[in-house]
Amino acid sequence: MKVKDWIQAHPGTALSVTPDASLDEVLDRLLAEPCLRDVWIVDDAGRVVGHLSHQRLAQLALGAHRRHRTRRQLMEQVAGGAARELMTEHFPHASPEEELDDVLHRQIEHGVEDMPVLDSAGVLLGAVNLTAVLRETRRAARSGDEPL
Amino acid sequence: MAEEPQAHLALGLLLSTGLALGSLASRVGLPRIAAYVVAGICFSPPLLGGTLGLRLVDGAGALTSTALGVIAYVIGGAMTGAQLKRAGRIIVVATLCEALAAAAVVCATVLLLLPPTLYGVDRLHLALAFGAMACTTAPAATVAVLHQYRARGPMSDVLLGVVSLDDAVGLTLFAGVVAATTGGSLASGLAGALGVIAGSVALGTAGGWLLSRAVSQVHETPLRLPAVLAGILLCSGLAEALHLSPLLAAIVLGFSARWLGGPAGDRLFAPVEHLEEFVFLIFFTVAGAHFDAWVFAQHLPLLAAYSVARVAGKVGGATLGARLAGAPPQVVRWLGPALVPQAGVAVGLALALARQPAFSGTAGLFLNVILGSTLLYELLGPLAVRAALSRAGELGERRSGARADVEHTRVDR
Repeated sequence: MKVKDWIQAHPGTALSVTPDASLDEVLDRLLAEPCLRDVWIVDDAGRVVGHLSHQRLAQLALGAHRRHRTRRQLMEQVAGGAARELMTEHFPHASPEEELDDVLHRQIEHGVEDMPVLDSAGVLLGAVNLTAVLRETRRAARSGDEPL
Repeated sequence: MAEEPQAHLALGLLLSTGLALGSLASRVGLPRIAAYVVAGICFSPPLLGGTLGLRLVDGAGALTSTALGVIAYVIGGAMTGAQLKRAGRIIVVATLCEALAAAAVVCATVLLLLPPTLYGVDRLHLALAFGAMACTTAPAATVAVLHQYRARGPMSDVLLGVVSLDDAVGLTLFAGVVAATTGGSLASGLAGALGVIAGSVALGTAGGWLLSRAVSQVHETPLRLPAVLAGILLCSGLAEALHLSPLLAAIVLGFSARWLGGPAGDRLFAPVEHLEEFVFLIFFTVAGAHFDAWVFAQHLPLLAAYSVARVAGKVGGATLGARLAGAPPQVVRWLGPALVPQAGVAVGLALALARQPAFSGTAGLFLNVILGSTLLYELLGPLAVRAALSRAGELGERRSGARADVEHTRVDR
């Protein structure tokens, strides 16, 4: 199955914020969608420019509760910053023409719950949600349908 | 070639003994780094090192240089320019003042105390080196106390910012001092030092650009550690081959890689940040192996003077800096005493100095004084941090579980 077919059949949401969003704003957006675990930073042209995972956001917000912190984490806590300074610029993504199998391999390896699907210009088209894939896999196994 | 296996065996025995004693010390609530030092002392030439015929000193140089390069890279990449701007004037001014004041007071004290030459080295050179080493602090000890007592408030914020920055000032100053004293006399060395500094900055910047590009192409997580380590070794090695400063080149490598490689820097730094504990195990055990009771006893007055002068400089400089930057009264008054902890980075610098031709013959002096003062700060530092936070009114409810004055030792650098 191609990724474009999957996102057409499973039109999930991908959480996105602007690069200028504060940490509080990003957290509010994430917590408003309990099923989603990844936030994508999108510029004015709709292109995805960065990624903030649930784990990273939790580390940033709850940094003071950690006994061991690196100097980099200390500076992040002291200086704060907008999404553009906290995000990871290198992130896994999928293109609509890829096979879903290949994407899932990458998704599991990088621990991304919501894999963004980008067009050739980097514009966000949708996301492959790992939980939805698991659900579909289980359903197919139970009903004897062809696996994904 | 015959010595190589023996040196490896010595290092293996040293590190595994240090690790075992450190784990044991943690379990019974004793400082882990003290246990590392004890392991090192056990393998010093007068004790097991001599009995077993192990030539540790021969084999440890390259390892400690690499370890210091890793730490310098991590320290250089700890902050971005934008973060420095946002951290604010108070943190930046207080950091510069406390680090430079500690260096100045220690330098002046050592100048007053030492004869014109010691072990064939000019006392001005020795004073400058001790001064540069005095800048550094131990962030892990501070963080552990803040965590244990749930400290919150302006003083805690400024303290975190200062301890995460001042090692960078210390390392840069140290690299400058080594460059300036390499020419034999300070006056003749200054001109050469400028060239060394400029060359090291250029090499580190170019290396940072290349490293950030290279690591962005490494998509498999397990390959990032070797990629970053190779970058650090290549940059430090080139600096050494070109007679530049490997330390300064590694700091600039970290800073420029972070600057050019994206804001978060996870790909570039997370792989090596986890090596810190191993690096400090190397520093303390190898330094312990250089322990010499006679040199230690002979320089006890210098050890005492260095320890007191560093604290006086830190307190005076932090007070001045915080006041100049318009910090709240509790920060002005109590920031200095909270900067007492000092540990791994200073020991690493002392080990680096032992390899410098300009300081040949003084390895025992530096290592024994810095080791002694580190153990002293290890005992008193966390107590000073706690007292300062308490006076500043920022101690919260103490966490249940391990005692703070013991727990810090598990992570102290």
